[in-house]
Order: sequence, then C-alpha cells, then structure tokens
Amino acid sequence: MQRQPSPLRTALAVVLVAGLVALAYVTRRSSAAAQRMGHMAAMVYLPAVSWVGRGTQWVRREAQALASLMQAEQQVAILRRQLAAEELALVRERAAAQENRTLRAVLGLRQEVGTPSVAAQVVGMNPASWWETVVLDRGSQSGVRVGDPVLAPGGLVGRVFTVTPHASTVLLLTNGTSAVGIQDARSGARGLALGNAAPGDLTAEFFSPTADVRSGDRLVTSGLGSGLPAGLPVGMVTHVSVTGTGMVVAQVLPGVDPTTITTVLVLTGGAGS
Amino acid sequence: MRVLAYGLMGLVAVVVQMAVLPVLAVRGMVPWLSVALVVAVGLLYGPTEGVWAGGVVGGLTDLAVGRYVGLGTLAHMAVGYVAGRLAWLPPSARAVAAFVGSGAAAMATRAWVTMGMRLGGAHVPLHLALGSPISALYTALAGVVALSVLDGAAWGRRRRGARRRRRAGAYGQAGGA
Repeated sequence: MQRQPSPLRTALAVVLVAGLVALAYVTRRSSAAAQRMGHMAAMVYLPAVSWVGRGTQWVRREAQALASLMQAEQQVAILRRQLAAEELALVRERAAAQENRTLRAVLGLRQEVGTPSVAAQVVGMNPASWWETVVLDRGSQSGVRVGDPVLAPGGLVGRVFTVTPHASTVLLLTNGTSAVGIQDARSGARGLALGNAAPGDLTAEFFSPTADVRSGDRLVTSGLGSGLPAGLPVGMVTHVSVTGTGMVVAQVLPGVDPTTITTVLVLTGGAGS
Repeated sequence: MRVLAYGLMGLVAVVVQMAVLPVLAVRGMVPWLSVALVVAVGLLYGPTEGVWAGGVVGGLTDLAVGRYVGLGTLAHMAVGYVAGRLAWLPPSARAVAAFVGSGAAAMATRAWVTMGMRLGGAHVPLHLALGSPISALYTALAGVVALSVLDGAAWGRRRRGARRRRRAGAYGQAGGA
C-alpha cells in the first residue's frame, strides 16, 4: 500500500517550486542581488577551481610531454633503423664501387701484360699472418700452376705456392722466405727483394757496391733467377743504406698492399713466361 | 549534516566540472556531473535524499552560474526525486538505471533549463534544448561512475561502523566480566 503524502508536505513542495521559479525569474537579468550571490558563491568555489585547474593543466602538460617523448622515441627508433639500412646500403655500394675499380684495374693489367692469365678472387688468408699467404678461388682446372706470378693493380703480389683443382695458395712478396730478382727501373742496378714477414716492408739487397739507388726509385722484376718475367712492378725505394761489408741495401714499399687485395691476376704462362 | 555532505559533494562537482572535465572534453562536450551525482544519490538512498541532493547540488551549480538561479535547482530536485523512485531496483540493475537515467536526466534538465530561459526572455536557440547525444552519453557514463563511487563509499562506511560496533561489544563483555 502506497503512503499518501501529507498536505503539509505537498504545500511545502508547492511553495518551494514556486519560490525557485520566482527566484529564477528575479535573477534572469544581471541584477545587484544576483551579482552579490554570484560573488559570494565565487568566493567559495573559485579558489578551489583555480587550484584544481592548475593541477589538471599541469597533469595535462606532463601527459602531453610524456606522449611527445614516447612519440619522439619511437621516431628515433624508426630513424635509427632507416639510418642503419642506409649505412648498410652505402657500405655495399662502396664495396661494389671498389670491386668495380679493382676489376677494371685487373682488366687493364691483363691487357697490359699481354700473356695468358686468369683473374682470381682472394677467398682466404692465413689467419695467423695474413700478409704471408692468400688463397685464390682458381686452381689447376683454370690453368694455374705452381710458380705462376700473381699480379694485382700496383704490381707483383707473389707466386703460386700450392695448387689444387679449384684453389691455390700464393706466397706473398712480403713472406719471410720470398726472394725475387729485381732491378732499379731508373739506373738498372740489379739485386734481390727479400720479404720481411711484415706488411708494407721489403728489403732490397743490391749486388754491386756502387749500385745507383735512390729513395723514390721504382723497382721492377729483373727476370733473372727467380723465374718471373721482367718488368713487373715490385715497389718503391723508401730508404737506402750501405752495410759494413759495402753492400747497398734499400727499404722498399711494395706496390701492392697485401691487406687490401681482393682480385688478382695469375699469369698462367708459368714461371718465366 | 546532510546539507553539509551534499554541499561538499556539490562543491566537488562544481570544481571538477569547471577545472577537470574540460580537459576530458570530447568535441567540446563534457558530462554533466551534478546531474549524474544526483541520479546516483537518488538511486542509492531514495526520493527524499535525491531531492535533498538535487536541491543542494543544483543550488550550488546555479549559484556558480549566477543567472536564473533556481531553474537548475528545480530540475536537479526533480531528477533526484525520479531517480529515488527507482531505489527499489536490485543492485545489479542500478548501474543500468544510472546509465539510462543520467543520460535521460541530462537531456531533460537541459530541455527544462533552455525552455525556462527562453520563457525568461533569453535568446537561446531552440535546438540547444535537445542537447548533444555525445554529452548525454558522456553524462550516462558519469552516472555509472558516480554510482560506483558513492556505493563504494557507503560500503566502506558500513564496514567501519560494523567493526566499531563489534569492538564496542567486545569491550562491553570484557567490562561485564
């Protein structure tokens, strides 16, 4: 059974509603009374609104900053990946260009030499002392034989040391056991270029105590004794000295840096070709 | 005490409405927090409390605006009363009632205030009386949140009271022994 509202409550409700409607009507325009009321209310809530508003704005700014930071980090990660890819492409491009230059030089060398030859790739090096021997991807199947001279753009690299059907090993000029007959391209003074088991370093010993050798002179193979054709560039004299026994000795910078060779030319005409 | 509690609630509603909700606005629309709160109070405590809450919270909201004071108060009181008439609903259905009721109350209150202002001579476009669906939906969501918060606060108060009573009973037994 539903309880009936008492007449007093109903009357109070009617008065309340009428009073509120009247109040709304009175305050419909900006009157002095309405302004005072508004001012009093503002004194209560405005400070709180101000403080909370500042806090909210601070949180909002921080959240935006955090979001920006996260976005920036993501962009940085993307850019890093792109940069890495670009760098890789650049490195590949440079390697390809270098290989192209080398191949062109080898091709030029082949035409210059004019003897039967085989181009080969350096596919391996002695891990312990890589300036002493290198491995080529050509062997007896390609006509490579023991003793064949091996050239690279810049000059003589060494000679074939061992041969298998599909690969061969080259003893570099700089090998400690290597000895090549040489002559000074300017004066014609003859001697031997000896390996020092160190990259970028050869020693040339000249037979004559009066040999005319100077720093900057070009040395080429003499074609005598060592079974190599004459005229192949070997290196450049960097320092000349005379030993106690009167022998002229020169320090030679090899024409080919063994640390950078990738493609070589094997003169398959054999030793002395 | 009741007026103080609702006054505090109204103040919080005004402050949050003015300082916090604009940050969460969706296409410039914000929830009508005071309406959502009054619906929640009505649903939880019945029509009398709903009317009280509507009167105090609506009055404070009106005062914060400073014009047409009483128009919104009346609307809030009506909303509190109607919501209070649904207080018999089981707790599981109250969330749905809060959602639907808050959305509907927001639209009705806006229509009421708009019409009242037009009658008072204010140049308010009639289409504003319908309000925005986004705002109504937002208020509906706020109603569910307000109901959960008030219900949680009431549950905590009941639990503290029960603990206090148990403790008082234990002391009484110890004193009797």
